[in-house]
Amino acid sequence: MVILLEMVKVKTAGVRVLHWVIFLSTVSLVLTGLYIADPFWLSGSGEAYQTFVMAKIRLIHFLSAIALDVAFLMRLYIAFFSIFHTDWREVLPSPGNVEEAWQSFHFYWTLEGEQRERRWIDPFDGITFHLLHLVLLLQLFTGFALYVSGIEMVAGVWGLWAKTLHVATDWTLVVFGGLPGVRLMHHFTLWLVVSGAFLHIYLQIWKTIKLQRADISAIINGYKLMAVKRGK
Amino acid sequence: MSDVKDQVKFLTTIDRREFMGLCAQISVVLGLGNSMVPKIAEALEGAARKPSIIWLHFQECTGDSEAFLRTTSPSVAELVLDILSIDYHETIMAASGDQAEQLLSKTMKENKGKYLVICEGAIPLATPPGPAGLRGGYLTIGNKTGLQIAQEVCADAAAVICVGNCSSYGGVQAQRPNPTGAVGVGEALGIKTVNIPACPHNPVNSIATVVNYLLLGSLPPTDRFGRPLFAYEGRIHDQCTRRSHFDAGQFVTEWGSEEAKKGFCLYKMGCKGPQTYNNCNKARYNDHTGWPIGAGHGCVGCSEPKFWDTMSPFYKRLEGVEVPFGGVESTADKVGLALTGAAAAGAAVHAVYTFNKKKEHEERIIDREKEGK
Ligand code: HEM
Ligand code: HEM
Ligand code: SF4
Ligand code: SF4
Repeated sequence: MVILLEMVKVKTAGVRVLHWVIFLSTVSLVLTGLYIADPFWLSGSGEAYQTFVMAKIRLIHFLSAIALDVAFLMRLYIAFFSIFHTDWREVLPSPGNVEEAWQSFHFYWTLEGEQRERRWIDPFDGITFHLLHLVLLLQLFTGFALYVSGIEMVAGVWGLWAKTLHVATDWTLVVFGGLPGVRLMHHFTLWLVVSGAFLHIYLQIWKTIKLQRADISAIINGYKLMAVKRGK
Repeated sequence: MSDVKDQVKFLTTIDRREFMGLCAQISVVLGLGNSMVPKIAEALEGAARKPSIIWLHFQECTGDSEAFLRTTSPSVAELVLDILSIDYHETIMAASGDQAEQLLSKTMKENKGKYLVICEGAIPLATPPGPAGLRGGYLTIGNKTGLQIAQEVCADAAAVICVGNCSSYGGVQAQRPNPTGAVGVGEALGIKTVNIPACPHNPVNSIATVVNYLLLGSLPPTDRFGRPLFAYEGRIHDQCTRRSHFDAGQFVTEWGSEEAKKGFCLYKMGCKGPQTYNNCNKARYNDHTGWPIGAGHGCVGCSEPKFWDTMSPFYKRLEGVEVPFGGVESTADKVGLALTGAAAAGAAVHAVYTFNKKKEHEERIIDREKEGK
């Protein structure tokens, strides 16, 4: 089969920047999270005020968390209100999407038949992004539940912030069985993030090599290849 | 009333200085200023409003009574028994048998709707096997189950205060698999109680709760677990004397080590301070001299509901996750690593397979440039 490919624009600069903000903050959160869970590098036995390792790592964790959450919410906004292309339909597990995702899954393992060419997020990716988002959301809620657990003496703006977080995250205490359960869930979800991100990255690399549509370039310069003409 | 009082063994008088000292201490715990100390003294002395207290024992080790009786400069026990009117307390009262039971019903009748009930210990709800099996039959006193006693006595009480983790949430006997079906008093009766959990509870908090009731005629505001906010609003971790070592990354990694002697943070030894709300870091035990973390042992979360299940193992940071298959206790990390390993293995198999196989419809791609487009 002979085909003619053309570069088409699929992602705006904003979406690409947000993607890499999400990537970098997630990497930072995973690394600092592992340190918080098990502080393997210990500072010496000098005076406590001389080092501030744990406090600094926790600060990086919180700052990365804010970066992730803000990028996450902005991406969500774009998914619904982009003037270039709104893509929220593509990540929803609608019956049509699920069926096509299943066909892609079949194709990825057997290479039999042909995969339907998609300009926007293809349904298989769409469903993995849906799951990845849910996992990140879970981290967001359990993380803020842990964060607000240390805030006492609520008054003023600070109190309003704390109260908002309580309203938003107190349900995690009920669902996961108090702070120990929330902590455990937050810790365990790290592995869901790691394995999910790993599969996502693997699939994008695999698709780029095997399907020859420059998929990775889509998230870097915004363009990927699409067939415009097919011949025998 | 006086004949009732005569039967209470520990009636002694205390001097004014000790008394004012206690009032000041309670004022601090309640978060009130110095100016409130005279009011507290007044409330405690006001004989007219002195409430009658009935202290009930269920499934317990009497640790909370011990704590109550043995605390604080020089003798809160004497003071409280003198100031408050503890009319029924199985461990410390002189009466026993029928006499004791008569005393109980008399106190309840005379003070109907006005007495305070302090509960110590959990209430079992399970039914023991056998023909005589009776709901809650794992605990009977004078032919009545703990459940029946609690229902009778609490029905006409002005308020029910639970001291210790057992009466608050079930304690150690409610730990999985909880053979006797033990639960806290509030849960057993379906009523709202003020809970002063810990193991044992800090008497400063129970006395402060009673004083709050005497001063204002109402119980203190509580969190969603029924714990008074004045004592349980703050997290151990945030007011811990070892917190600077936590922030500095200075941790004890072995008991008895140099780091342990230096008082480093016990996070890596399984300290549950970050998950626990209590004021023992501020109020402390034993005449305000010490508290667990101060003494070199991590917090085990004894003021939290179900802490035997959720906070154990006490010397490890996170509890094990029960894996449904095989019933093995594993840790979150093991399960997570296995999951990630499975993902990596799946990807590897996929890569080897697909890169060695040709696509059914192999494409020949024409370069856009060459096509001259
Ligand atoms: C923690 C790591 C990562 C996370 C959480 C993540 C998450 C996401 C999400 C949510 C999307 C879809 C939404 C959007 O278009 O912005 C996406 C798209 C994409 N990501 Fe990632 N990503 C990660 C790392 C990477 C890496 C390292 C690569 C490059 C190899 C990559 C390549 C792509 C590509 C090519 C797309 C576009 C897919 C399409 O439009 O069909 N991602 N990523
Ligand atoms: C990809 C996302 C994230 C990952 C992988 C991650 C990972 C972790 C891990 C492994 C821990 C240690 C848990 C333990 O063993 O006790 C932790 C702690 C924590 N995380 Fe996250 N986290 C993420 C996102 C967030 C977010 C969005 C927040 C929101 C504020 C957050 C706030 C916290 C807090 C407050 C702690 C407890 C720190 C302490 O008490 O010292 N995390 N995180
Ligand atoms: S809470 Fe602790 S001290 Fe009190 S009765 Fe239960 S086990 Fe004993
Ligand atoms: S000893 Fe426990 S409560 Fe104190 S700072 Fe360390 S972890 Fe927190």
